[in-house]
Amino acid sequence: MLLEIKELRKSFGGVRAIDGVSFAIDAERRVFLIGPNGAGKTTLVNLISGYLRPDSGAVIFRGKNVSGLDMRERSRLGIARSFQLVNVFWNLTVEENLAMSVASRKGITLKPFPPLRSHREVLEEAAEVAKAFGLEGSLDMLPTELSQGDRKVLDVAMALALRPRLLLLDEPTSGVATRDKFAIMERILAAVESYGAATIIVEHDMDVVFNYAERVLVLHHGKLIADGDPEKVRSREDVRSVLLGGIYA
Amino acid sequence: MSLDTIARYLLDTLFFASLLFLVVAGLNIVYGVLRIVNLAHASLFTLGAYVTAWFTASFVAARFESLLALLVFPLIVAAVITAIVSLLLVVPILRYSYGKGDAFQLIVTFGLFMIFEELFLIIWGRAPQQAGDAFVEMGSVQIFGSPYPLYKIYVIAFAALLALLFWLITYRSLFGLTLRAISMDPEMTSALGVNVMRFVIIAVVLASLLAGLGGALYLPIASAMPGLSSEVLIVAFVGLVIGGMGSFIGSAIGALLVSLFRTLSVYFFPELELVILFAVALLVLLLRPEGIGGGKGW
Amino acid sequence: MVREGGPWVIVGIAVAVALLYPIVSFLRPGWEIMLTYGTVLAIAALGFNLLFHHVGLLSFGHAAFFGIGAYTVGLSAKYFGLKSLELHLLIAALLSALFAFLVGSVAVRYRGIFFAILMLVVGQITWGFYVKFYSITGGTDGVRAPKPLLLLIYDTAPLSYHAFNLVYHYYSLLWFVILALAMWYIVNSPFGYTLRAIRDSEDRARSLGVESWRYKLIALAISATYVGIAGALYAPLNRLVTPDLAYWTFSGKIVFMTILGGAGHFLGPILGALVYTYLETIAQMITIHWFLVMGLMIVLIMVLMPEGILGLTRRRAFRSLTKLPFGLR
Repeated sequence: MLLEIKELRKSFGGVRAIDGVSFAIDAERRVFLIGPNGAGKTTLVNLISGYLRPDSGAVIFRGKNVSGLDMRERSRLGIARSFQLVNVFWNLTVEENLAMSVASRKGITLKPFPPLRSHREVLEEAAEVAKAFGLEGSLDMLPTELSQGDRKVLDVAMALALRPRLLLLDEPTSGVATRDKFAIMERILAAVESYGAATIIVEHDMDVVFNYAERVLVLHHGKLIADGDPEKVRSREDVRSVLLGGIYA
Repeated sequence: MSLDTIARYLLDTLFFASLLFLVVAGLNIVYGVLRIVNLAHASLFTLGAYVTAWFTASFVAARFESLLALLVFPLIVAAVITAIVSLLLVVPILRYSYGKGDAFQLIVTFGLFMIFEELFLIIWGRAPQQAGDAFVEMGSVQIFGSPYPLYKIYVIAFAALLALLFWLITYRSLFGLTLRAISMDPEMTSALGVNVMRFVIIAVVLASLLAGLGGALYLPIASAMPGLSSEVLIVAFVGLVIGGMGSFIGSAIGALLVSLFRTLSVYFFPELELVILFAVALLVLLLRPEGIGGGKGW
Repeated sequence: MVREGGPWVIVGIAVAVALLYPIVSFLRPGWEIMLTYGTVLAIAALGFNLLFHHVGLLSFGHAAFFGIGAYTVGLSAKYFGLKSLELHLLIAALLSALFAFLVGSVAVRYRGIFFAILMLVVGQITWGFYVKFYSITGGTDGVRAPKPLLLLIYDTAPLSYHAFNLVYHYYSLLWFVILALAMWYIVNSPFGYTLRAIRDSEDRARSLGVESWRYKLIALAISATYVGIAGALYAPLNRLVTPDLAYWTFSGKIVFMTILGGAGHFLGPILGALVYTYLETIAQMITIHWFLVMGLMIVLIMVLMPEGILGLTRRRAFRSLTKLPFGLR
């Protein structure tokens, strides 16, 4: 198993954000995590990526209990994540943003010499990742000059440039106009496919979810209420009622 | 240590804490409403001290014999002048700096600090300015058989009264409620129809007033001179860090702790005063990063 | 990428400053020494700006490191008869870095206001040390810094001050070139990029596997080393080392030079330091109240030209560095 989640719990004050969630994934490319607002989706991503520590339960990654490790240490082991609100280095260019990921993976970020420009292999790999995501035309731009969709894609690309075994994408199409959602998701999934990372995607738009999912996890009030094949999940009555009374299904 | 020495040190601690509280509380008010740490805040303390020295020496002492006049008139003049200067110089700069980032605010208020320092030099020169009349006139009381200056006790009482008043305003008045609301969420408060900027201006002037009064109360036992602002600022910052930012109780605790350790270190190792204060601040930060009273809001 | 101030530009500036010395000394005798002061202060401002612009941490306590450097020269000459300036520089660099690690191990956990305040207090502690332990440091009278031995063989003691100043100008320039080049490589290296990445988003940097506090601590140490070396170079030039050099308003001067030239530009601190020394001299000829002028200028620069002098001339060209004029949030 690549990732095993065992009886994970996390409370904020008196609110149980994650309340005994267990599941496991192996090599699936398109695991979608869905649920209404406040279901605990982002909290779960934060717990798996190490941004938050669980109150109890375990995150086991490739047979190793990583529950006590922080985000940085887990990223070293191969868990990468994107952020719901675009979180990139706003004063570095697209190329430099991607190069940071590559440089970090190669462990050269402490090197004071030679200049980054002389690390050809880093820049080439950054360009390669950009190409996989369709960002090759924007290498010299600042993230502020990109469209919202491209910013979201860059955020994902930075995570994938780490060449993780597990990629966590927190709403990669949020904030993007509805008509562009499919195009953005296509670009992301194509890139993920070519790099071959197991991927858990938090997504709100059910059309997107059921168009691409190969497995769906439904979270409600911090509990996992459904897990499995998209068609079967969609046909379940309790899932329908949770997802806004079946409007989406 | 004999009983009277202990009493003297305790009273000195309280005296110093009273003055420091007035400065730290002001820093806290400004931080609360504007999220700005004003590097020129202690300069208002110095301004209060200079004005008191000048006014006492050139007007009051010559014309009035009474102690009451010595205590009241300079204080009023110092308060008025600090408030005016605050309105003309501090308020516009802080208002402009609002929301521009820590670096901007720190550098601009540093510029303001330099302006104050040099203005003091231009107006009052390098020589220390003194006016100990009130201090001398008040004489001393016997505490465990040793004389202790009555003036210091008066300052403790006065500052305690100000603190109480300040507490009542922040926690028992509509004005205070609004101020606390602004410190928690200015946008929300503004959405409720409150003219936030007006409250912010009043808060900044109030904070300046507290510092100015502190300087005015301090002057009779010391002197106003170049370097005073820096000294007060550094100690007040340590109090701010220890007590926690944006907290009324924190200001009092910070001022008290700093004064206690200051008195102790002046007694035992006078050279290491700041080192000891800094060590205490670091200890507090390691145990409670938000400061003793901090993290709760007003 | 840091698009300006490549190696040749740095060498070019050094050559220009080298050539200016005899010209200025011919046109206006006595004013040439400000070039040397500017060169030395430029090293300090470059070091300060590594922390300020590239890490986004504003320190109002860098005078502490300047003081450590200057007093290293004064005290080791006084008590140990140490003459070689290179040895002084080495000790100054080591002590500054050590002190930075000591202070920084706590301070870099904090950002913004807290970091500034902690560094400010640290700076004042070192100042208090020089003032209060006057039996060792000479108190406010300070300690003399004699003419040193340069490059291990050249003893400048017999020189007249006029001749010494000339020699020392070129000696300082040598260090300036070495250190400015090193800084240029540092800010363009993967390490330099990592610093700016941490500045832009510490969370994101951590999610990429970067242990941010280590980078900040190392940056602080490098920054302190530069300022310490500048302090050590300053001592023989100024002949006298006083506690003022460690006072927090001196930290403020370093901040001022940096924003004057333009913190968002690699060459900003260098230009700022050179302009600053002349500005101070001219202002002091007109008025004795230099602090008033400086205070007003600080406010005006921040409000009207937040990118400093260089920001006025090249507004568009270097946007990737200048988007965030004052780093901190």
